[in-house]
Amino acid sequence: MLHLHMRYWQRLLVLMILSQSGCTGKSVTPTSAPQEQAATSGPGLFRDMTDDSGLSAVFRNGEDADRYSILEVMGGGCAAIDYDGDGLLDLFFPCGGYFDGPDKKQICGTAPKLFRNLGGFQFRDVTAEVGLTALADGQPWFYSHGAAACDYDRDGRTDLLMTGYGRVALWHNESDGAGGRRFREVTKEAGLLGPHFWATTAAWGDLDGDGLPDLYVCHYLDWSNENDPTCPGYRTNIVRDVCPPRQFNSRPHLLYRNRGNGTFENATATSGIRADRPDGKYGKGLGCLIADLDGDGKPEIYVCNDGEDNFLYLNRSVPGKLKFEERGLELGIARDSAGMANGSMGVDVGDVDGTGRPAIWVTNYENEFHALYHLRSGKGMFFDYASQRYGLTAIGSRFVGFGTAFVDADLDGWEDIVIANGHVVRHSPTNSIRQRPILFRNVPLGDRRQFTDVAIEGGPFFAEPRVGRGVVVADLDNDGRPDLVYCHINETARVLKNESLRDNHWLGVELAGQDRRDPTGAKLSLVVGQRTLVRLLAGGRSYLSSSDPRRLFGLATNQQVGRLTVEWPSGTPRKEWWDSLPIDRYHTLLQGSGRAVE
Amino acid sequence: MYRLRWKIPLIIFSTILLLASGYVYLKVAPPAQSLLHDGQMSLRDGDLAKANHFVEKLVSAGYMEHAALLWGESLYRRRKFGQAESELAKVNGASALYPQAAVLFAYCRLEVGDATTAQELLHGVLEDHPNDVEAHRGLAQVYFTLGANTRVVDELEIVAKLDPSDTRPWMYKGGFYADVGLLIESVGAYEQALSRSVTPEQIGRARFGLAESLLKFGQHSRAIEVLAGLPEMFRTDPNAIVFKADALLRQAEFKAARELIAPVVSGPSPGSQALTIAGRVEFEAGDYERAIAFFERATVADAAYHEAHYHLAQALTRLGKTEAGAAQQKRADAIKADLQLMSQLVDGAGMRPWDAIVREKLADVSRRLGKDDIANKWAKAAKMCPPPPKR
Repeated sequence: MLHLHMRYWQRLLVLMILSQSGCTGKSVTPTSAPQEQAATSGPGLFRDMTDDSGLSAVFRNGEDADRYSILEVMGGGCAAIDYDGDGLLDLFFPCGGYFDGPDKKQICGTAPKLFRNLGGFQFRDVTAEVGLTALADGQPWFYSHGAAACDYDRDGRTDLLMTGYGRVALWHNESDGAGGRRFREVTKEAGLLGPHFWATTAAWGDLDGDGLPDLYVCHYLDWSNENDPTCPGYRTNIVRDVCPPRQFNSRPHLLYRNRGNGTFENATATSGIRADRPDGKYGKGLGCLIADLDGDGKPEIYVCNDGEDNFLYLNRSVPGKLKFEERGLELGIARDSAGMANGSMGVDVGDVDGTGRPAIWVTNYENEFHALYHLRSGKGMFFDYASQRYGLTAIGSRFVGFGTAFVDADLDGWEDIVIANGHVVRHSPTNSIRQRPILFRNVPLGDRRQFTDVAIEGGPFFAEPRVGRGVVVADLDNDGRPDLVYCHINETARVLKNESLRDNHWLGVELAGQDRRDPTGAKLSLVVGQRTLVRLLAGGRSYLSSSDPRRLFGLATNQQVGRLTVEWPSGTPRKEWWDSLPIDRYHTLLQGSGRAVE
Repeated sequence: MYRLRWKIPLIIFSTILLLASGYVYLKVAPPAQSLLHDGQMSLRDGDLAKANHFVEKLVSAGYMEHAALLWGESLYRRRKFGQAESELAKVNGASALYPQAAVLFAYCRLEVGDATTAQELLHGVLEDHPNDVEAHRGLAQVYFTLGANTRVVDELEIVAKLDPSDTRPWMYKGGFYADVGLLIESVGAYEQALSRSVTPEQIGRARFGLAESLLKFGQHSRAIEVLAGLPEMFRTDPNAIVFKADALLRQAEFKAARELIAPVVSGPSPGSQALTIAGRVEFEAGDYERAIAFFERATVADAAYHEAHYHLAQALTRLGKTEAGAAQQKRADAIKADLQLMSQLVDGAGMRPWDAIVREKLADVSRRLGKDDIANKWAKAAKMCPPPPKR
């Protein structure tokens, strides 16, 4: 936070004795902010199903070693992945790590967990069954954070990537020879073993139009055992606390091009991604998103950096050659409305006002507002900072936001927003460490739209403060209502069933590219009554997490839909449509099965 | 027996005479403390002549130390610090008046640039009188002069406890917390200040501070409500208009913001904040030419106003003037770097009240930002910093 100490000397202080007598005036009702809504025990949009579900995934951060390291604050995410192809999304959780050894300097990892979705919000731990109990070659587990699911080799089975401190791990989803599935770690043979320093969020997406999903891996900063300063607390009576990110330098992020033969090429240096910079400004990356923001058929990469400018890499790639141009600051999407870089963590893309123009939504640190950057109409790809305009600053700036997502929670056709909040320091002098999650409903305000904090409507979960991190949106019971998974530090992840009213209808779409081409970057436009609902298929999103790859359209009470148009990022045709798809069900749309648009 | 009979009336008469004298004395000659208090009230009200009258009364009544204290304060208020010190030095160290004299002496020392002695004196008072609110006020003043803002806040928190009616600690804390981004604390402090405010000026200043923090906190509607409660004399104050326009801008009520700010920016010497708000309204409307004109004026009004430079860069870029936009962004980033450096240095100045080097660096950065008046204050603070005194 930049201190506006230019005003210090203007704050005249004359405390001369006897210069003021006692006085009383009328009292002022203190402003309570943010508007903390009362906890509710009544039903809401979401019901916490965790306790009876069999799900028990806890991210441990090792803070009991009292190292006060910044490593401990990252937390973890989750990947929604149908690993066994039974049509139900399963859940994969990186589980963090701990410190070991006599001096607690050994950075160790905790094995991840995979829970198979049995239906009816019942889950079973299948970690051992699928071979996720050990890394290849007897390598020790690493301190893990993020998960990203993708069929990287286009064999029809979704694979898994896990990120963490010092490395990533890629698992190939294979048959176990007995009718089941298992994961085989292939990081080394895929060429993904290095040079990772501290990998956080990863995003898959076909960036060069060759149909193969490429990989962007954010990196954070250069904390290590050798670079582990002791920092004072954030007030005079607090002796020690976690160091702020500005104590450290950023590390280069990595971009890998998928060669199509099970291996990846490190394309960072030649692609225009920030690398080998004399100023060392690589961005302390925590969140990223791959989506086609300018409608040219080539997905961009948007990166959230902590305390530094966010990046928008415009895609100039051609098949076989990744090429990007970073222009975030120029396009108005790097900083807040005061021109300051924020501590940005989570991200998503959505259509907030029904115009089809994408808005990038970013969660930020305390004393900063979460940021909504809305693509402006007209020439150029400029974004307007629109947080205040959409009422998103009404929750104040007290929250430290992480995982987030656009989600049409009530299927009214307007995308709402969910956020996981939780502080990073151990002893905040003024703020709560545990913070309640947020549910913003997208509601009408005259002829405009606005977001309203609706904790009570969300259900009891949204009134309970936690140390939140990753958030996943996934329809876990395939009822067309998007469910949620919230990840926390040192506490079980929670799975929330969407229990919105059944009055509203829906349409679900799963895109299947030609020859299993990766469809990330696709744009879906659905005519519903007088409106056209636009949804983008994006890689990355949220924080350290990987959500349901399907797209859900809320139809409100409309009983039928018009034309659904899909603009594909590659393959043929590039644009096609389907008319009057039956509602209240999922459709797997194969590229080429619709009516092509010439 | 005969002698005793005469003595009894004599004793009775003497006693009556003594009591009557005492009564007359008390009635006719008020106690020293009362005279001193009345004299100090006169000084507070700015009536030096009346205060001098009380000095004379004290002298006539033989209360020399009281007189010295009052006369010393009078001289202090007339900025005759040397003479004031001479008077105050007449108060004996064992006297009940010593704490007051020592505090005033400390203020004199501070005025002549001797913060070290000022601090020593005040600490000396607090050793024997730890709840002496004036000594704590004095220390706050010392730290303020040194630019040690966190120490100022520490002292003012004690002042606020010792004298709950004083609005000034709350006003200062409101501004301090706003500057360091603790917006909830800032709002709370300004609300406390407002609840203690009586005069229109106090109410106005508290409301301005509160409105500004509410704006930063995202509570635009509440900010507008607070501004609506301004005393009449502040209703047309440009600051009130600017804050309200800012709130309307943030609520996307661009037309209303434009109408409100227009008279301010077309008036004499509009500030950089007003011009930037006007520019942002045009920017939102897509009229980048008009926006640029306002932003350019804002950067002239205050060359160090980073926000104006940033928005100017954005507007130039959107108009297709990419090179000019990039150059402007570079200027904005240089200012931002200096402001961030200043922020770190001020943190250091707060933690180390006697560090001359950090204060000299602050003076340099301030000068680089074109803030010579602020630079001079930091330079003055640096000069006051010998090695820290032992307590």
